Order: sequence, then structure tokens, then C-alpha cells
Amino acid sequence: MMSFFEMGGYGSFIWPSYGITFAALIWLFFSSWQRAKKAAKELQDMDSPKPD
Amino acid sequence: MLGFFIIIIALFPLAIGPKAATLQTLGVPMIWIAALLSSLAGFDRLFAQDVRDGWLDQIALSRLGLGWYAVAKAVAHWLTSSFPLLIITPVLALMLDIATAQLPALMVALLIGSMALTLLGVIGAALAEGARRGGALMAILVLPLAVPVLIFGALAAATKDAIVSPHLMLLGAMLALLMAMAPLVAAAALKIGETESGI
Amino acid sequence: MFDYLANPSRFLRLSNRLFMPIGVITCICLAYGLYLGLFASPADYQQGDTVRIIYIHVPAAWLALFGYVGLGLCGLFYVVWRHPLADIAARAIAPVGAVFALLTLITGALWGKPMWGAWWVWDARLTSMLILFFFYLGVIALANGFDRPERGSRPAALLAMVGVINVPIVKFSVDWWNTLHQPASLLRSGGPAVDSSMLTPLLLMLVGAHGYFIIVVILRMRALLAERRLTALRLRPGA
Repeated sequence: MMSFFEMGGYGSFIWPSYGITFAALIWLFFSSWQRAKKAAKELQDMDSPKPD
Repeated sequence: MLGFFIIIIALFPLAIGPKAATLQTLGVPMIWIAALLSSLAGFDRLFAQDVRDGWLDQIALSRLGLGWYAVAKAVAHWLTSSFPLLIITPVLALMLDIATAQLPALMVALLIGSMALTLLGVIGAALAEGARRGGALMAILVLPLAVPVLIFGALAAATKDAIVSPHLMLLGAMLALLMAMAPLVAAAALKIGETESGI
Repeated sequence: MFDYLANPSRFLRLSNRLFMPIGVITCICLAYGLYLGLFASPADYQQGDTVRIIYIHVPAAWLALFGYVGLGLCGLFYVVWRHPLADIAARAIAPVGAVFALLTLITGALWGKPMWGAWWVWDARLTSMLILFFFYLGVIALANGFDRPERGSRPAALLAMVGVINVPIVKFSVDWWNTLHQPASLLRSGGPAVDSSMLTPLLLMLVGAHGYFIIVVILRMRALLAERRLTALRLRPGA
């Protein structure tokens, strides 16, 4: 198990690589998703205005 | 602007130390950076005045067209910014301990390179015309485009024993490409500003 | 096909239908690719385990380049044919491509440190990627640099087109520069021998990365289209 994390001594390079990459890609996906949802919701509110 | 560079180049050896070897390696690149910066100096205001005066609209409607207008601006800018630097290069070469034999290659490379950089600056200025923070924007626009010119220009300038080298030819090819492209791109970019500015 | 997609609602309908399938394929490819890449594939006999970084470095680099070419194409469609969705697509692609370019640089540095002993080398590929990253930043800055949001669309499109011509030139010149200045370059580009045990995870990650790219670009395009409709509706008198 430990040897998996060690990655032959290169662990401190490999894991940050994968970590940063996935963190960035997950952030990008969710922020894009959020933006799309927010805009869609606002558009819906516009089309069917809620009573004030 | 020129005075600014002369000061920097004069002070440069003081920062590096008088050892001839280091100075010689860095002399030519230093002049190149100076050439790059002069070519881009004042570009963010290149078209601004004319846009504000409405002069740009007139030119767009005239027979001259925006393309030739951009060329004229490029020539004017080169004459006032890069040409003086070129004239003074022999003096700078002396200060930076560049071999006299190197001078012809350096000057020819600078001549072609500065023209190419000026054209790039015109493209950048036309694209960024009307933008907020035009100066910083122009820098990031022009930087990637200028990389090949800088690389081959420095290589051409450092050629020993010959003026013409493959690097110089490539530099010349880039200049030719830019001469063809820059007026078109600049005209297209300025046209956007012209049709939309209607303040 | 591009004419067909010029209508935003049609584009939205089509992309909605494709979204889930592409998403599923992406997840499968990435999951399996990661499993193979991190666990089941062998370490390189020369580079050891660091070779596993190529499973993210190569897809990132590829997509950064692919994104930029896409950006250039969108620019062409927008400036020449005035395709209505080209600008939206370009604005959606640019940040995603930029992120991939940055990731390429970061993973490249993390790979370079154990391999060559330096975080950054002025190697031809890394330098070209750095310039590409600046290109992305330039396009994004230009597109968003005007007071009126849509004023920046055409300049950015023009810049993207100019950039696509320039990228091969930059690559060429940096290659040339690099071979002259660093004759003892030790970079073994692309990665080690393309043995199938390594090729499979690499291809899976590549496919997965493409899928991810498409998914996120579709999301951003949806958001942009909705935002544009909102602005238009709000500007309508009596709204």
C-alpha cells in the first residue's frame, strides 16, 4: 500500500500532478455547470415572472 | 523614449560588472530588447486621437482606405521610434563592447526586425483600439506574436563573419508575411471600432 | 452541418441530447484510463513511476493545442461567414483551452523536476506551450476588454486567426532556437516506447479528455446563450 503512494520515490511529483489537474478540471466543470444553471433559472424567472 | 534606452544601456554594464565576456554575450540581446520596446512605444495611443476626432471614419469612407492608413501609421511610427535607435546603435555597440565586425549583421537584422515589430505593434494597436487598459492589453497581444521575430532577429544579429544568414532570410520572410497581413488585419480591426463607436 | 447548427435553439436541443451520452463515455474512459495509468501499467525502466504523469500531461497538451485550433476556426467562421454561434463557441472554448495549457505547463514542470533536475527548461515544447498560454490569455483579455461586452468579439476572432498562423511559426522558431542553443538536449519527447500497456491508458485518457472538453464547452455555451438572451430581454422596453 505504502509503495503505491511512494510511487518509487516520485510520489511527491506524481500526486500533485494528478491532484492539481483533477482539482482544476473539477472546479472548471462545476463552475461552468453552476453558471449554466444560474442563467437558465434567471431566464425561467423572466419568462414566468413571479408575482411581486 | 530613446533617451530612456540610452540611459538604461549606459547603466547596464554598471549592474553587470565590467568583465568583458559577460557584457559581450548580453550586448546584442540588450539592443534587441530596446528595439522591441521602442517598436511598441506609444502604440496604445496610435489610433486613439484619430478615432476621437472622427478622422478614422473619414478615412474609412475615402478612397485611401484603412489598410493604407495603417501602413502610413506604421511608417511614421518606425521613423520616429525605431529609426533613431538604429542610428544610435553603433554608439551603443561601443558602450556594450560589441565587436565592430559584428555591427553590419546587427544593423541589418535590427533594420528588418524593427520593421516587423512595428507592423506587429500596429496589429496589436488596431485590435486593442477602444479597449480598457489598452497598454497592458497590447503587451499581452503582441508578446506571443513577437517571439519568432525576437528569436530569429537575435540569431541573425549574432551571426559571425557574414551579414546574410539563414536566420536573416527567415526574418525577411516574416517581414514579408507581415507586410501582407498587417494592413488587412489592422483595417479589419479598425473597421469594427469605426462602425461601432458612433458615440 | 454548421448552417444547421446556426440556430441557437437547435444547437441547444442537439447538445442536450448528446450531453449525457458523452458524459458517460467520458467518465468511463477517464476512470478506466486512470486505473490503468496509476495501477495496472508498468513503470518505465528508465523514468520509473514518473512516466505516469504523461497520462495527464499528453492529453492536456493535445487539448490545449486542439482548443486553440478550434478557437482559430471559430474566429474564421465569425469574421468571414458571421456564423452566429461562432463567437459563443470561441468564448466558451478559450478558458477551457487556457486551463489545459496551464495544466500542461504545471505537469510538465512536475515531470521535469525529477527527470531533468529543473522545474523549468527552455525546451522547445514547453516554451511553445508557454507562448500558447499567453495567446489564450490575450484572446480572453481582448474579448472581455471592452466596456461593451460584445465589442470584443470580432477583435478576439481576428487575433485567434492570426494566432493560428503564428503557433506553427512559434513552434518552428523555438525548435530552431532550442537546437542551436542547447545541443545537448536530453528531452525524450512524447514519452517512452509506445508499448500497448502504456498506449491503452494514454488513448483512454485522450478520449476522456476530449469528451470532458466537449462537455464543458457545451455547458459554457449554454450559459453564454442564456446570458445573452437575458441581456436582450432586459434591454427590451417595458421588460
